[in-house]
Order: sequence, then structure tokens, then C-alpha cells
Amino acid sequence: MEPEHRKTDELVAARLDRDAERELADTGSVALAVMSRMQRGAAEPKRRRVWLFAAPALAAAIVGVASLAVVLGTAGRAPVQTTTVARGETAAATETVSETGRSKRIGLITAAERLSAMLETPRDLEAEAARDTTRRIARGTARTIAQSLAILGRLSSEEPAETPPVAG
Amino acid sequence: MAVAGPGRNDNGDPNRVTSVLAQPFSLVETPRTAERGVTEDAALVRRARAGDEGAFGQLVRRYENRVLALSRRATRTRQDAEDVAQETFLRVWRALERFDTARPFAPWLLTIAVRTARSHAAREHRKRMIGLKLAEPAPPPIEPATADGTIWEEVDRLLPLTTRLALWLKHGEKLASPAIAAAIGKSETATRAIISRAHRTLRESLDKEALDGT
Repeated sequence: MEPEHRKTDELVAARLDRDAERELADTGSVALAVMSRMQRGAAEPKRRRVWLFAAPALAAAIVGVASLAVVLGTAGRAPVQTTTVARGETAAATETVSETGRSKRIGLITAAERLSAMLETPRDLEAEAARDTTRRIARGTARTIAQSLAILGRLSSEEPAETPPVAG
Repeated sequence: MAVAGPGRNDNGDPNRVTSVLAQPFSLVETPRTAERGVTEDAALVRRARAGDEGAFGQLVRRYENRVLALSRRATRTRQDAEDVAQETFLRVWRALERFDTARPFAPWLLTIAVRTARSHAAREHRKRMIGLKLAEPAPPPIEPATADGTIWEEVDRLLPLTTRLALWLKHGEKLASPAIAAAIGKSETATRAIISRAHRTLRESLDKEALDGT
């Protein structure tokens, strides 16, 4: 630090010290007010006020978190649905299917039986998706068949192509 | 109504406030760091803990001007400064059980005062931010503590809150850097830097005549 600045800083410090004494000479009526507030119990209501606001807020937060947990739980893990599938006349296999497909317990069951089991589960998203796929396949197949039949029909109704005149 | 604090002894006398404050004050002087003051503070704290509100009243009287002066560093008006000082002593009363009487009372009290002053400043800032004070005119200029003003007016006008408080603890309270650092919640190095920067700001702001003058 430059000597000039050091000297000025010393002046600043000296002035701060000197004026601090004057600030300290300024007395207030704090003691009287404090003792009065203590005897009125002013120290306690503030804490009560805090709880007055904190308790409902805390209760609302708990209810909110619980509701959110229920909503998320419902969305993430749907109720497990159980479908009993008859397998021939001898035995039955039980399959537990969840919407997420995580808790599947697949017994000895064929793919066809599994598909039919899902189709019989009205709230099963997987089954609904399978149904949609089946419908799309059926529609596509029907359309293809119809188009094929139309082509065949058109071909059969058409006159045979004119043969070029035979010369001579 | 019961007062939250150490062993209260309420006799229901409405005139007790003035009677408590009228009790003979054991110290004529209020030495800031003298050993005698430290031991007497500890004795007063022990009596206050036992439910002697008179002893706590003596503590408040002993330190009220110091807490008030520190509170002025965080407030614009004298009324606000008195509110902060009152709140500080009420917090002290509630926390008296936690005070270690083997240590000096003043730094502990001043640390609580610093935190109360900061809370007040933050609360005022929040009020301004959320527009509760939109209808009010611009904040008034800082009231000087004395009629002819002091350099502390410039401090309050130019410097941020933490710097003002640190500067007061150094020049108003003559605390050492570790105690200042503990009170404002900074490291010693940071505290020295804050105070040094404050001196530089004041040096650049004030001309030499102003510094030499009274």
C-alpha cells in the first residue's frame, strides 16, 4: 500500500473510532420496552404465531405429498389383474398381468392362450393394444382380400384382349 | 401470560417494570472488555437464569446503547433500530440457558444482535420485493444518530450490510478479527479483507479535509 494511502486509512480508522464514541452516547429507551414486553409475554406469542401458520401449512404439505404419492402410484403401477385361463379340460393356468408388464407370472400357457387371456382383460392396456393390433391386422387382411377379389373379378369380366388380325 | 425464558418469577405487579429498572445499578462504567465486567456479566446471567428479571434488566441497561448503535447499521430510522434492539434482547432472554458463563457475554450478545439485524434487513428487503411497500414513498434517508452527523452516516450510505456490521464491530466495539469473523459468519481472512475494502471505499469517498475535521 502506498504510504499516502496508509496514512489516509489511518485517518479513516481514527475518524471511525472517534465518531463511534458519539454514536454510543446515543441512548434509547430499549430497556424499559424490553422489560415491558417480557412481562406482557411478548416473547412467546411470536412462537405461537409461527405455529399458527406452520401447522396448517405442514398439514397441507402432508396431504399434498400423500395425494401426489397416490396419483403417481396409480399411474405407475396399476392394480394387478388376474385372469384365469382354462387350458383344455385338464388344467388351468393362472397368469398375472400388470399394465407395466413387470409382474407377470406366466405359467405353462401357449401364446394363443396368452393372447386370449389379455383380450379377456378389459382394463389391461397390453390386451387393448393387442386387440388394436388384431383389428388392424384383420382390417388389413380384409382389405387385401377385397382388393384381390376385385382384381380377380375385373380380370374375369374383361373381354379378352383383341388379337391382332391374322394377316392373310 | 407466561414469558418464554429462564425461570420466570411473575408476581403480577404491573409496576414491576419500572421497579426492576430502578434497582441500583452495580456498575457506574460499562467497560467493554474489562475482566470485572465479564465476571459481573456472568453473575447477572446466572441470576437471570434463576428467574431474577432485575438482573436481566441490568444486563439490558448495560448493553442497550451498544446494541442500539449496532442496530442502527442495519436500519434507516431510529424507531426501526429500537425495534431491532428490543428483539435482540428478547432473543437473548429466550436463549439465556444456552450461554456459557465461562465466556464473555458481549461477543455472544453482539452475535445475536448481528443476526437479528440481518433478519430485519432481509425482512425489509422481502417486503420491498413482493411489493408490500409499493404504495409507500421511497425509503427515507438514513437518520443521523447525532445532530451534526458522523462518518457512520457515510458508512451506512456507501457500504453493504455485512461490511457495515463488521466495521462497527471493529471500531465501535473494538473486537478482534476472530470475534468479528465469528459474529458475521465469515473467515478471518475474509473479515480482514472486508474491513480493508471498507477503509479503501471510505478513503476514496471522503476528502482529506473531511477526515481531518470533526
